[in-house]
Amino acid sequence: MSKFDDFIAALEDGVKRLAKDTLKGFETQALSDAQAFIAKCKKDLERWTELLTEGRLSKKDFCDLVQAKKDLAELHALTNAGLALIKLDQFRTALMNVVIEAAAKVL
Amino acid sequence: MRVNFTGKQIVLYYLLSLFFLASCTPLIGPYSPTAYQNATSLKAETLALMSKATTPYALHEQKVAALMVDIDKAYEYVHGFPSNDLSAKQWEILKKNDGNLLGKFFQRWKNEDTLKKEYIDEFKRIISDAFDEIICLEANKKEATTCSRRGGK
Repeated sequence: MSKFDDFIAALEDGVKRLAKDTLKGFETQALSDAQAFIAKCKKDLERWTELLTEGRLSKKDFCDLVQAKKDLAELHALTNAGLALIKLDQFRTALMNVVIEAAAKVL
Repeated sequence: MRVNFTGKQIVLYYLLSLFFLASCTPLIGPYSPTAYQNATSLKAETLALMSKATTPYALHEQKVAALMVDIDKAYEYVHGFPSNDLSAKQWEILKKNDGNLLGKFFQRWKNEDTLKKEYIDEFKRIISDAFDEIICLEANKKEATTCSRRGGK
């Protein structure tokens, strides 16, 4: 086997290990986080409806709160996008080390 | 001495060069203790000021204006970092004059002079969560952190 093939084999091993360690559980975490956010929205909406029925919130108050919640959802989505980028950045940095290690093994 | 490179080695050289060049630019802005501090202290100040909305707006007009200037400064600060668009966008949504968060609350307080306690309390919960989103993203740039607002009350 040529040195190039050795390098590729070492790289493949390293990348597989890295992907398993770095990205493990991210999808599950993102999903449970989204579910928690939705559950909280539902709870808030139920409370506001109750306050509206009791006359402690006006229709205008209710609409304002729903619209504010919409903007909050946007902020939440930006946070999650940021968390994904942070994970990717960590993966990329670790990948660089794997490439260097794999090259060092065959040189 | 003349060294002959194979085609594979040349391709590999270029691929590695591209890879290392691409790796130099971070995908997201760096953690900033100042940005984190700005978010946490402005959260406390904002919520304290919102609590006063049961009293006439005119009494607090200057404090509202000063707070919005500080929030503008916090936005400009994070906006100045490269690759920090997501954090900057979060501040932008929070502070937008014609938006649904701080802009909406303070404008309504100004228009109606005083606001009902129930409305203030509910709006404060949302604003508190909004700041927590900003704080969460900033904290995670430093190290993986489970944010308190996730799945919280």
